[in-house]
Amino acid sequence: MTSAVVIGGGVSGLVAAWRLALLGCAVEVFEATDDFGGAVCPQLLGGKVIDAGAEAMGIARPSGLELFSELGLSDVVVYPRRTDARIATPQGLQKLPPGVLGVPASTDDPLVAALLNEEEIQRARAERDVTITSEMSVDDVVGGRLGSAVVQKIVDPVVMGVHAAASDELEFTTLFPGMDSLIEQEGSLVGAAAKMRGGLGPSGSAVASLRGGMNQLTARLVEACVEVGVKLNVNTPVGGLERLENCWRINVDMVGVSHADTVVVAVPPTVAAKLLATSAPHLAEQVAALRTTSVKVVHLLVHSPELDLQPTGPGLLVRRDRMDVAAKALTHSNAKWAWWEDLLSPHEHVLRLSYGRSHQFASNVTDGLTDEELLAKAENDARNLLGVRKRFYVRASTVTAWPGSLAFAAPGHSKKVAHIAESVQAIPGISLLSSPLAGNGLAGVVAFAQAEVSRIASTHQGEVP
Amino acid sequence: MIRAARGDAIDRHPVWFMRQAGRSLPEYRKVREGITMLDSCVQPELAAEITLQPIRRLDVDAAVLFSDIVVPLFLAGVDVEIAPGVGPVINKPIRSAADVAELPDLDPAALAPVSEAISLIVEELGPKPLIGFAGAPFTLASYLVEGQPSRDHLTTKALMFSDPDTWHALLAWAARVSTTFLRVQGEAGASALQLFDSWVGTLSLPVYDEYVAPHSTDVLNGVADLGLPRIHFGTKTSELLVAMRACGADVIGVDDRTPLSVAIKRLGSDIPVQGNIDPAMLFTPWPMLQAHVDEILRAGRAAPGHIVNLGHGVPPTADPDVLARIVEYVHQVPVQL
Repeated sequence: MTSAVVIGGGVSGLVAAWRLALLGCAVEVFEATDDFGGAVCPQLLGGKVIDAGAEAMGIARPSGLELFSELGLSDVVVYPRRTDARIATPQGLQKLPPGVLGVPASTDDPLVAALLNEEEIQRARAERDVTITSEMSVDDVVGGRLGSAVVQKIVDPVVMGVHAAASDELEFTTLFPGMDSLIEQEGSLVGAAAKMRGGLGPSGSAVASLRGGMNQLTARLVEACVEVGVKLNVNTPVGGLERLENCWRINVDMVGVSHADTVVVAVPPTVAAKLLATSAPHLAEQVAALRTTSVKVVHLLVHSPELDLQPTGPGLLVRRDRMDVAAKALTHSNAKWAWWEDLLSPHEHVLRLSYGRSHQFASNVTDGLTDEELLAKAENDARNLLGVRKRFYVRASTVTAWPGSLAFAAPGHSKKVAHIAESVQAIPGISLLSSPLAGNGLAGVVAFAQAEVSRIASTHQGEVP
Repeated sequence: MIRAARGDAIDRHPVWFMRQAGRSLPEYRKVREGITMLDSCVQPELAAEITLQPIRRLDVDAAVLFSDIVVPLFLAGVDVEIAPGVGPVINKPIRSAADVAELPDLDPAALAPVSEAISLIVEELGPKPLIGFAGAPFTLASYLVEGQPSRDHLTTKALMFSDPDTWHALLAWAARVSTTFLRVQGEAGASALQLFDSWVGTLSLPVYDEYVAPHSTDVLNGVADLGLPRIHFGTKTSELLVAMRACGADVIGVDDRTPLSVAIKRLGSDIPVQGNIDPAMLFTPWPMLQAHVDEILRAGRAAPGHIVNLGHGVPPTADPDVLARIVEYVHQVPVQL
């Protein structure tokens, strides 16, 4: 392998480009938009830099922190200073019990008892054995084992907050990778959740970020790529991809034609499907069948002395029966991340609200709203969720739409992903890094990009560079 | 300035000075030669010129209409003049129910010279806001009852306590005048309105609440529908700040007798403030004045919005270059921490 073209300059594309270059490959990245980072990018909120998309990374898997360390970012890794996230219920805010994606690590936890009635607790404690298959939803497995109340009252808001779809719409094995074998080993789902959390501490603490925001990762990755000679291009959409006898021919709009013996397609599924339509029609069809959901993120820079008390800790997840609120989650950024302190005036706060649920929930659909309407809703939601009674001064705000940004991992998703992996492997010199293939979150994206680089590097082993 | 008044994000600290259009400017003294104060207020071209003078000389973020709180009384037909070196003089003080009953109501049409001046000003100002203003009912009443500026307001307070019915009738009349004066300015193009209660600091909180606040509330409510930020200001109001806010203000002007940080804390840190450079500091060496301004800017961060101003009007003896230097300095202090 001597040359590679990476299409898409998001985190997966940049990680792949950097790794390939480290292996001695000549790498060029083509990014369609005017900046790198994809969902990990900076934005200005009243003159302050915030994360427009991802603001933290799960650390249950080590891949993310390992990457930080390799990039020399260890000194700026930060952990939430508050981890007592809440669930917003019609009765008010209640603390989220420690667990994995809402699955409690103990049914004796008083926080669990506070969310369930006596009968529901007894049901959760009498865990039933349910054999897990890849077609089962989160609801099937967790509800079957611990009772539907655990799902509706605790797991669902967390799942919705993270994946923008309900627990009966999402595949258990994708959302809880490795959990099935852990259940077998520990004898129960609750035991497996406790084991999986391990030493991760209370709920919400299993994440990390960087001082200044996750956008620092993109900034550093770009630097690292430059350091190892990766050629980086922005505003260069790739129009077509063609498999020649020994290499790929990449048509870059406005630039011309590029050739490489390896091509890494690190773009969303819809874009990937178009690129692959002629050279790999079967794969393109499979990729097009991947489902995604869209989310919108609203940031508010507010002045509100009432929020000095941090009424919701680092943030909250909204249960679906909170009918007065359209948001699915709210993060009180400066309560969560200590580094914000130095950047804010007294009584100033950064709130981040996320919107977008799968279309099953017509009442919560915010797709049709203009940015202005969504902002008005967000301001209202923030007031309601945080119990702000006095005047609430919004000093600055942003609305960012992330169309098709989250994998909609419906039951059957992991099978689709496995079939796609087979198709990809059958085509020489290609890697496909669309995020729905990568597993959950940024750590998943990083691990997947690294695994793919290793795979394509090994298929080239023995070749003369 | 309007953004700060609304608590929105700003890109630089806004600043203007109460009585920035006035005797401290040589060009003001020149155009006023041979013309009485009240006459200059009701000649649209002249009032506009004087209003705009500080805009040309200083880089302030707002103009404030050149006028006087007794101008609406004058235009209503009250026998008032502004005596040089003294201030407003009412030739026939108002001290009885019969006096109050005889007070003429203010016809908005009588304020045409003010509207005309505002049209001229707004045209030249462009996007820069013009602040309109009016005297609050208590301060107007004090002039009407005392007949001239008073230090102790004894006659005023004596009337207030001894004949509350007459007092409330008088304040209700003054409130209507102030409301009309503010409305006309707002409708003519002012971007913010300030209610001046210069003498209100002479009252205790319970007395203010009982005898004055309802009338000031009527004025502020009476212009609420215009949607313009309403600034409420008085001097020696340390004890009254919260009550003055409750009258319906969007911004509280703080005088220099209360440290800005204390005022903000008392107000609950949730209303924009204006103030409060001590006018005496204008006569100190720059490093001292600069440190004073720094402290005020720092304190102002605790409010949702902060408009830099003096704690009271510009003294006639102030050096305009010092004002210019403050503006330049305030503008270059970063908004970000």
